[in-house]
Amino acid sequence: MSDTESKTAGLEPIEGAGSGRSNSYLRLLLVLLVSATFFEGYDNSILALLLGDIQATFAVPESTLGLARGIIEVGSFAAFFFTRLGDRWGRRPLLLWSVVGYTLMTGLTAFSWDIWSFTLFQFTARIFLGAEYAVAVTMIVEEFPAKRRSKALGTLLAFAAAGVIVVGLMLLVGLQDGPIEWRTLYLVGLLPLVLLSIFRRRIRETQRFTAEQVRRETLSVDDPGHPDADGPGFWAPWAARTRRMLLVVGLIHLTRSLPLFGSTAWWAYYAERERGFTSAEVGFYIIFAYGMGVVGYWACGQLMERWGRRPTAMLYFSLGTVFAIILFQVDNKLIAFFAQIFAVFFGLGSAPVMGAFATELFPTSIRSQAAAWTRNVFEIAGFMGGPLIVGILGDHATGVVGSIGDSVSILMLLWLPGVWLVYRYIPETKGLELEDVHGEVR
Amino acid sequence: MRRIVLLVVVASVALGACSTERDRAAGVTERFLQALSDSGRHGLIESATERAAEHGDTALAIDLAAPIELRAEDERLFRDLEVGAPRPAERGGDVRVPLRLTQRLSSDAPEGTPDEVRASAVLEPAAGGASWYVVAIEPRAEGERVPSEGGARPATAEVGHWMWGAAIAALMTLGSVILIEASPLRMTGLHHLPPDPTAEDPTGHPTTRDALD
Repeated sequence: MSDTESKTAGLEPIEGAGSGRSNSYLRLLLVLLVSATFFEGYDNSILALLLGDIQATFAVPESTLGLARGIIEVGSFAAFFFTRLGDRWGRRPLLLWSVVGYTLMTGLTAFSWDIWSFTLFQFTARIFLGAEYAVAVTMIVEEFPAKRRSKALGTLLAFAAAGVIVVGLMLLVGLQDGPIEWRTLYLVGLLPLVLLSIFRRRIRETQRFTAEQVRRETLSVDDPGHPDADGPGFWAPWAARTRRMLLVVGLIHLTRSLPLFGSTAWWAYYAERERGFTSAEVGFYIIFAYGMGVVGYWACGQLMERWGRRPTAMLYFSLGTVFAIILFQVDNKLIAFFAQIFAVFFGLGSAPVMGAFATELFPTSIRSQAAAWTRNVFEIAGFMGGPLIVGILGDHATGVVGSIGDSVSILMLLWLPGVWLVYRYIPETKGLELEDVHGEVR
Repeated sequence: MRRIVLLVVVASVALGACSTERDRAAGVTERFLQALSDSGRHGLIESATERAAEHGDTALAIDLAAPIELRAEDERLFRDLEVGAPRPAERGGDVRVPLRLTQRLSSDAPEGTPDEVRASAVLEPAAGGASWYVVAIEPRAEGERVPSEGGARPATAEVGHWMWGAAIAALMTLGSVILIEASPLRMTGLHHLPPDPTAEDPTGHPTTRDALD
C-alpha cells in the first residue's frame, strides 16, 4: 500500500514500530515465548520415543496405534483453524488461550483411560500447541526490530531441540519406568505450563497488530463496505495480492518437511534395524546430536542477519540434504554420529529462516493466516506424508525399496526443489522493517 | 474438491505401486521376531501371538527368548533385533536369514547372564509363494552375518529407484514453477522485486521503494 493510499484508508504512522519496545520487554517476551517451541519438541519426542510404552499400557495392536497417531497428527493440521484467528482476535489473546488449552490437555493426557481418550486429548493439545507456535513466531517477527529479528527467531526455535534433549535426559534417568510410567512426562510439563499461563499475561499486544486494529476500526467507520473492515476472510492470503508468495513459501515448506520429517520419524528405527545400534546407543545419539545440533538454529539466526535469508536458506537446505544422505548411508558409527549432528544442524536448524519466510513476507493484516497456511497446511502435509512414504517404500517385507535408509536418502532429493524456489522467487528481507517489505507506512 | 479427490486417488494408486509382489524373507523374519518380542507385554500377548503365528511357528520363541524367570516383567522380550540378507537353504526353495537380538533381562538376572542371541531363521515359501513362513531357528552357518557384523544388507535401492527420485524432484520443481508462474504478479512491496532488493525491477512494476520515495 502506498503512502497516499494508506492515508486515505485512515492508517496513521506507527512511531518506531518494531523498535519501540524496551530491551527488557523484548527479553521478557522472548523468555515467555520460548516455551511454545520447547513444548513442541517435548511433545513430539514423547510420542515418538514412548509410543511402545503407550501401546502396552492401553493394550492395543499396531493398527489401532497407527490410527491413533494419525488422528493426533491431524491436530497439527486442525490448528490452522485456530491459528488464523490471530488476525481477528489479536496475537495476545490467541497466545493466552492457546497456552491455557495446551496446559489443560497435557494434564488430561496424563489421566487418559484408554487409547481413544489419549488420542482426543493429544489431538486437542496439538491444536493449541500449533497455534501457540505460530503466534509465537509472528510476535517475534512483529515486535523485534529488523536488526535483531533473525537472532530472536534463532533463539526461539532452538528451544524445540531443547525440548527433545530434555525428553532424552528424562528417559535416560528412567522416568518412564516409575509407577505411572510415561504419564510422568506429561505431568512434569504441567508446572512450567501453569506458571506460563500466569506470567504470559504480562505480554502486550504487538504494536503492529494494534495499528492494524486502528486501521480496521477507522475503515469500518469511514467505509463500512470495505472488505478489510471486518478483518480478513478465510481465503484472504490467497487474494491476488499475496497468492504467489503464499504458494512459493508454502511449496518451500512442503519440499522441506516431506524429506525432513520422513528422516526424523524413521531414524531410530533405521539405526536399530538396519545398522545394529542398541537402544542405548540410539538414545545417546539423539541426545548428543540434538544437543550439538541445536547450535544450528542459533547459527541460522546469526547468518540470516549477516548474509541474509536467501543464502542462509540455500546453504542450510543443500547441506541438510547432503548430511542426511550421509547419515542414512554410512556404516561407520563415528561418521554417522557427526553426520547426524550436522543433519540436525542444517536440517532442523533451518527452522528460523522458514519462520522468517512464513511471516515477514506477508502484511500484518493476514500474517497469522499466512503463517497458518504455510505451517499448518503445507508443512503438516509433509509432516504426515514424509513418514508415510518412507514407511511404504522402505517396508522390509513389502516395500519396493525395502530399506528405510535408502528410502529416506531418495526422499531427500525432494528437498532440492526448495533450493531453486528460494533462489528464483524469494526476495531478500535482511535488515528491512516489515513496513519496508510490504509498503505499509510506519 | 474434484481435484483433491483426483489427487488422493492418484496418490493412493502411486503408493500402491510401491509394494513388491512377493514379501521379502528378511522382512518376514523381522515381523515374526517383533511380534514375539511384543508378546512379552501383558496387554499385548493375544494380538502379538496372533501376529507372530501369521509369520512363523510361535513355538520357536523358546529358542530366542530368555527363560521366564530371567525375563523382565511386562516388557518386550528383545531390546533390539537385526536381520541380514537371506541365503538359499539346503532344502530347495527354503532360505536362511541370519539374525541377532538382545534379550531384555530382569534386573534380578545374575550378572553376566548372556543376553545376545545370534542365529539363523529358516523360512519356507508360504501363501502360494507370495510370502514366507519361519519354520526353524538354527545356529548360524559359516559366513552368515547381519549388516552390523559386516554382512550384506537385506535390500538396497537400485539405480532405477534413485533415478525415479531425481525425476520426481525435477517434476516437483517444474510443477512448482508452473503453479507459481500461473498465479498473479499483482503484489505489494518486495513481492515482485528481484531477489536483490537493490537491483531494478525487471517487470517495471512500481515497487515499495518507488512508493516510499
